[in-house]
Amino acid sequence: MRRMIAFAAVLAAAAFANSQTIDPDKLKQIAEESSVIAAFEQNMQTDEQFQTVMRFILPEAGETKWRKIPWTPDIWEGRIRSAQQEKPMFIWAMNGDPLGCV
Amino acid sequence: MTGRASVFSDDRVIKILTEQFIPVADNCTFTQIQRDAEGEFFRKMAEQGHYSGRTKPTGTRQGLYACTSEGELLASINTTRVEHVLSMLNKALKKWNEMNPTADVPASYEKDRNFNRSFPEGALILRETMRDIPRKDKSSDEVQIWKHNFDHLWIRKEEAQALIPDNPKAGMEYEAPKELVRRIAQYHLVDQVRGEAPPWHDKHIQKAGLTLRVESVNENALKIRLEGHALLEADPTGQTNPYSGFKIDMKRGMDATIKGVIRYNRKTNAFEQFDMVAAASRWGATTYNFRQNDLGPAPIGFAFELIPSEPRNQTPPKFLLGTYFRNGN
Repeated sequence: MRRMIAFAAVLAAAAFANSQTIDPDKLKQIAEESSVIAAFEQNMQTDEQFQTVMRFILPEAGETKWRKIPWTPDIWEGRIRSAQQEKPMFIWAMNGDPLGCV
Repeated sequence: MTGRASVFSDDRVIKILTEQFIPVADNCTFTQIQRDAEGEFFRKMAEQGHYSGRTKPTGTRQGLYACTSEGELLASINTTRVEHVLSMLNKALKKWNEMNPTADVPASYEKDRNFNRSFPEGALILRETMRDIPRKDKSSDEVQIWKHNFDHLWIRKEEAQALIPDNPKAGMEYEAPKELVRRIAQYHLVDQVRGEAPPWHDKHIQKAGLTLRVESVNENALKIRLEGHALLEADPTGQTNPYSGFKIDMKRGMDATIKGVIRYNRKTNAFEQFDMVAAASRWGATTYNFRQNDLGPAPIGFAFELIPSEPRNQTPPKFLLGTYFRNGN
């Protein structure tokens, strides 16, 4: 019940502040961020709070479009496939793993 | 990180790379100095590209390269501008079609043992995502909550097996292997949301523990909850930024609460779910992690999820070399 009241208060405050132009996406974002902050501050005590924080941290679909490309993380394996499939290689080379931590 | 959001999220680039190239992603920090056939292949190929003709020697070979399997360069560029990359790809395809090359499948080679980043047989891969958490006193734009980074946590087969008790009973509690807890704390609770940071050292681990509790069990399935805590603190190293000259490496720390859930199939002996979150308060800055103006304490989150242990997912953990696995890989 406390969560629902807090959620309603956030929506009301945001609606009041933006009474001229209420952006539904913005309201949704504010509500989501408020629930993430609450779950975080309460050390993810419930399963719902754990899921809320997990979902927030994980990337959205738009943030992982680059994974649609069938990357191989191994140059030698790329050479083998290139020779077998008679296609040129494309190498994305970075100081850091392009598919991991950079 | 910019390249992921710009170049490699563009539908035209995705289509052309998927259909007409063999796309490879490589950490050239290691490849360019490896003393083996792979390192030799990469150096020879890259030196024909955008860094050729350097009058001042530099170590980097970062960039985008198109080449044949024999190492002949077709085109190269180092940019995050989509149109320039598309132009480079089309140039490479034109040259490829003119050459119409055929090649033998390359033979296997002996890897440089100093850079062995091979995947341990039977290991689990948890993909890690790290991101700042919203704050009450700052807007999401100020926090830049869209910034995030990834890494991969490798859990050896025997460590994964140690997470599953032989005779599980609901309510049973036990500790995760110390080596696994150390690895998570030391190498995966590192603030790299905005840029690179060094791992924690042993001496920085003030506290680290992870307790597992069997929540439910039947002949087919096992559900386990994880709960833990890690406190990490480090004094400044005294490093300065070579470009600005500023000393920005200051006392830093991480105070994390860890929660998670494992679902294990007792019939197939397979992990079906391994979700874990570290909700932490971080403070301080390192030379390259862009926290000079955001020293905290401030909330940060690390989420881990199980992904299939297949070759395409075997991008190594950032800090794999060194003491990631204490007893070698």
